Amino acid sequence: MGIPGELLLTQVSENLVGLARAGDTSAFDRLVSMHQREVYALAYRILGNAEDAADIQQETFVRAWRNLRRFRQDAAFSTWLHRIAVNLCLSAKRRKSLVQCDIPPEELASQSVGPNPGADVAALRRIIGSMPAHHRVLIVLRDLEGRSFEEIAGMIGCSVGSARSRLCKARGMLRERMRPYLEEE
Amino acid sequence: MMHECDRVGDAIWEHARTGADLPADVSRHIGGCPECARLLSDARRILSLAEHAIPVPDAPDCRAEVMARISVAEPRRPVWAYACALLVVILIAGYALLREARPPGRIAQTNQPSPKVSPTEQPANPGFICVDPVPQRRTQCRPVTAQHHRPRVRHWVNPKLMVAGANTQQQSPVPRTPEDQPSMDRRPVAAVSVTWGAEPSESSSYAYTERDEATGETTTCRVEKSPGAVSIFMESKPSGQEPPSKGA
Repeated sequence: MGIPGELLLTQVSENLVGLARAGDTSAFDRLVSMHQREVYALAYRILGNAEDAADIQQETFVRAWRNLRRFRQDAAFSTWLHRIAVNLCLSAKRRKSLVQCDIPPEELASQSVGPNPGADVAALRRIIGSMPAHHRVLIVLRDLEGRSFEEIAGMIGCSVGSARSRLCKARGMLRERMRPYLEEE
Repeated sequence: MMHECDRVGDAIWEHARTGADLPADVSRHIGGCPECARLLSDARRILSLAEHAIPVPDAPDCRAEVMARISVAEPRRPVWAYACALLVVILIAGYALLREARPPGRIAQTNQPSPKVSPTEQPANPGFICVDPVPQRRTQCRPVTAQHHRPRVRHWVNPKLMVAGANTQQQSPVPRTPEDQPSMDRRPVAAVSVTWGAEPSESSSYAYTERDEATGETTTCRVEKSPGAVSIFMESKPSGQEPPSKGA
């Protein structure tokens, strides 16, 4: 009976973290290689911009290296890494408006909705981009990345119950803003 | 009914996201609640669009940049290490400041310079008197007399203090001026500071000898305080010649 792939990956990751904490840069290089795609995807989904996502991706690993001694390994390394990335994304959002299409909901609702599904996809993209960052993070983590509530709570630094209630509000806002497009169905 | 709608809302979204079977009670509720049925429809639609809404481009390989940055910025030392280092610095600085700020007391010659000392030959700090021209020598200091209030004596080498040679004669304890002895070089010397007690008697004296372990040279210094003046006598003798046990 073999070890499930995800568990094996986690064990390898934890071993590499132990080596990296002792100062082994080659072990950290392997950790970067293992996790850089998911970190970039998370940053891109939150920020919606390839250049900013690449900056966050790089900064996340540099911060992780600097704070590796603080990582207590009571959570998965990837969860800790994503928490750093989420915080960096939220900080970046606070520093400057990175919303790709900051269109007011009223204007979005007034746009004509054609039968083309691509138009609905574009509308959803704009609406997600126009949502508050803390709501968008929850939708990205849960509905796009399929993270568990425990992981989400660890990443955004709140309780599981709080993460659930915040996600409920975020979904409600998303549904409300998408209503003009949904009623065409 | 609304409370029940709130309860099943999360299950509806999860069913729309994963396609997993709905619990039986949620299915029954959706069957009798048009609002929740509408929510299920909307959630399915939104999540099906969301799969295509944010296509993630290929992630760039950031390993080279990250490794270059972390090779410059090594992991930070623990905070306690910085705290310990800061504490040591504060203690050293505080000790130095306390030494500087300590009240000098009554230094024998500060206000009463010996009238025998030439003004041109007087050290910058009138509380000092030259003892020995050899800097940083190891000495053994032994007081030979102490009367009344024993003064506090400090002696050290002060390379910045430049006076004439220390081969002062016993009967002429005050160093001669360069004009008197033009052949004498100005050399770094040691200095001694004598601080009397709070209430010295009208006449006090103190004397000590010090011996250079390296050269065997012996120096005797005696300080006498009278109501009108302070006199300091000193004598250095090379190895083999014992100084007098008391000052001249």
